[in-house]
Amino acid sequence: MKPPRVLVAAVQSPFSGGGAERHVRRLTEELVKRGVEADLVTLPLIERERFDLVRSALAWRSLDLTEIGSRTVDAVIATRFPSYAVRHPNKVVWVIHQYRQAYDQFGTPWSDFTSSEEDRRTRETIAAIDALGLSEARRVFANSKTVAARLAKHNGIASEPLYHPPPLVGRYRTGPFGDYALTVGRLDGWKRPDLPLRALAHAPMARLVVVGRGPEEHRLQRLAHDLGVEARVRWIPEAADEDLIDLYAGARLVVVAPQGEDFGYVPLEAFLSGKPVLTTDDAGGPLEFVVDGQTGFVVPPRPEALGAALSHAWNREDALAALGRRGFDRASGLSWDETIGRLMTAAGLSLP
Amino acid sequence: MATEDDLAAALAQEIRAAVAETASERPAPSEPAGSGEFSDLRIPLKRAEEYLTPSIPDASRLAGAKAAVVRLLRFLWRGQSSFNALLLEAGNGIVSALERNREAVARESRRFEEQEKEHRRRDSMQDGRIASLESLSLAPRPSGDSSRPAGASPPLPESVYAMFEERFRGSSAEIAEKQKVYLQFLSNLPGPVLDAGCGRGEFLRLLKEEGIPARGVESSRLAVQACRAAGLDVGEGDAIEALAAAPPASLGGVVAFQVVEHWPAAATFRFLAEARRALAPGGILIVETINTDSLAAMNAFYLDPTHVRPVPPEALRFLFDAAGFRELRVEYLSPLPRSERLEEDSANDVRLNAMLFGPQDYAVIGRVPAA
Repeated sequence: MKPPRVLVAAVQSPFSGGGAERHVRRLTEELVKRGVEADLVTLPLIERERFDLVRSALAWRSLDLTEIGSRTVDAVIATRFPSYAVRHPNKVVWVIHQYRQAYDQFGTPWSDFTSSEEDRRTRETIAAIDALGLSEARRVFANSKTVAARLAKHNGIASEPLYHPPPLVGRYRTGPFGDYALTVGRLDGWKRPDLPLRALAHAPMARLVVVGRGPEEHRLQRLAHDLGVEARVRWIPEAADEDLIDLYAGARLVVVAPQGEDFGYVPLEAFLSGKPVLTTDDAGGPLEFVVDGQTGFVVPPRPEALGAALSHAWNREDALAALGRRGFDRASGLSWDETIGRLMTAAGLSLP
Repeated sequence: MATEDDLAAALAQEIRAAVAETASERPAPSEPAGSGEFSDLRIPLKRAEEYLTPSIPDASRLAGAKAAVVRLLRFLWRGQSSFNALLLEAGNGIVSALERNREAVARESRRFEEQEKEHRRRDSMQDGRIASLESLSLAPRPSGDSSRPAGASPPLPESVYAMFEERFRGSSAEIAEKQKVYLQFLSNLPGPVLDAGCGRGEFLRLLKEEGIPARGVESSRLAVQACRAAGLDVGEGDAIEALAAAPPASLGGVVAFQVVEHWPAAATFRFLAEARRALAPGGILIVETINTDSLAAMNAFYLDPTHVRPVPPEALRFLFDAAGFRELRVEYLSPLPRSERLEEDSANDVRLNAMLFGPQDYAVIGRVPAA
């Protein structure tokens, strides 16, 4: 039997690349590993002006991937907006996230969409593209329950949450509890990287390691200075995989403080390293894994609340270990075997 | 293992208590309890408010270096666009609230209209009853009434038909309004106008107002009485006989509104032939009846138990021609209100509307050729 041919359709962010791009590359690799003839098709999403979004969607729409080189493509797995506008009779969509500025981020500082006629029309067009691309799909998966809930709320589209393991699955390891809390992620406004820093001001014994870089970097360093906590903060703009694994393994606990995150690898990475997670009750995706008192702590998004949690948890290694172990069990349940299996079944294909 | 679980649970409990304590230090702004349909509206407004009150300490701290000012301005700009966006959401909310309000008002006004219709219906029933009581005081008609054309179906008792007309034909004012359209054809005629089957005299009154000499003939004694009481020149009797009695070329115009559907075809043709004879050259004949091309109008045809047969426009036009009338034209009248027709989005809708909900009446208009 010939191996099934599957194309993964994804949006590219040239020169930067992010979690979503690693995700689709990994998906393609995992398909190949299981004997599927898989490849990745990408187009950049241009956002210079509003109409570029529509142009990018049209570019995807004009691609018909039914047949390549006179050989049939058995299925397309489309991912991020607007890659699911692509044409294929057997299209499965795994929505990593929508174009959030037009939906849940609209009306927050994280969206530069305004009330102008152009912006309003663009938002409507994006909704129309989503409706078209997703309604054609044989099955719609969402990256998390949070993403599925947004699809239902903003587009009235039903989807199934489909989780996947974090990038370095199989390589994370547990280790002794060190003397720092860890926060990992791009230093971008909506990820609220200032919150762990501000929490530090309310937890005098805690230390923090911040891994990541982004537009807020300098402002955050200034904030640490102003708060008088800079001596207790270590900045690591970039960490190689091995270093990141070590940082997780040696952390006391991991702080995850974004607002309305889609999915988020960090809690899973923390769990696979045996560490509990401190997060906020508006974090979105992380709350699908972090359960207060079970696998970590969930507090309101206020510096004092996070500070109080850090203070009380800091010297309670036994309790942290118990939480971390349960987190480990929770995250170990995710595997590419199951994720790929569900995607292939949805496409009506079986693994060779 | 169980002790570890207890440890974790205890710690979580402790943290919850500590967090609660921090909350009491600085109480979170309490959300106003949403009241009814406007609570949704308040949420974006509330968020917009947050942009209007930037935190002063942050701002003053950043006010130092030029780059920081630029950053601050960018922050403000982002806040402004967010604020605009939220205002838009609030505006949209207000609009939809207004829409809901307007729908409610429209519903109420429809209800009032329904009630008013019902009241008018009752009014006309009362009028009919009064008319029927009045008819009791009239002398009984002589038996062997010859004023009806042969073959006409046995009439309802007059008083009942009077009630029927009140109920279904519409008020005198409504009828007069509809009939105004014919006045344009009746100026500069070579003689007076005869209104055959003039009913309660609505059209005669219009002609009188226009100073056009006219008389009527009507078979209903009740209607004749009403006309005479209003000072109109109306004879009691059968329209065809009245026309037959008129000297040749003595009339300038003959009108017959909602009459021919009460007659068999032979009577209609005789009426047309008598009209042709009685009209002077240049004289005009207008015959209005129910539009058989419209299913909605056909429903109205069968409503009236004294109707004999519907007369299609082509047939009536043919009879006009055969009787010697020229310059024939067919006018369609009394369109149904838009609300009772289909929305016309396609050519099919237009055709369906014409078949199902076309104009209720039509008239054939013809002239006696000038000598």
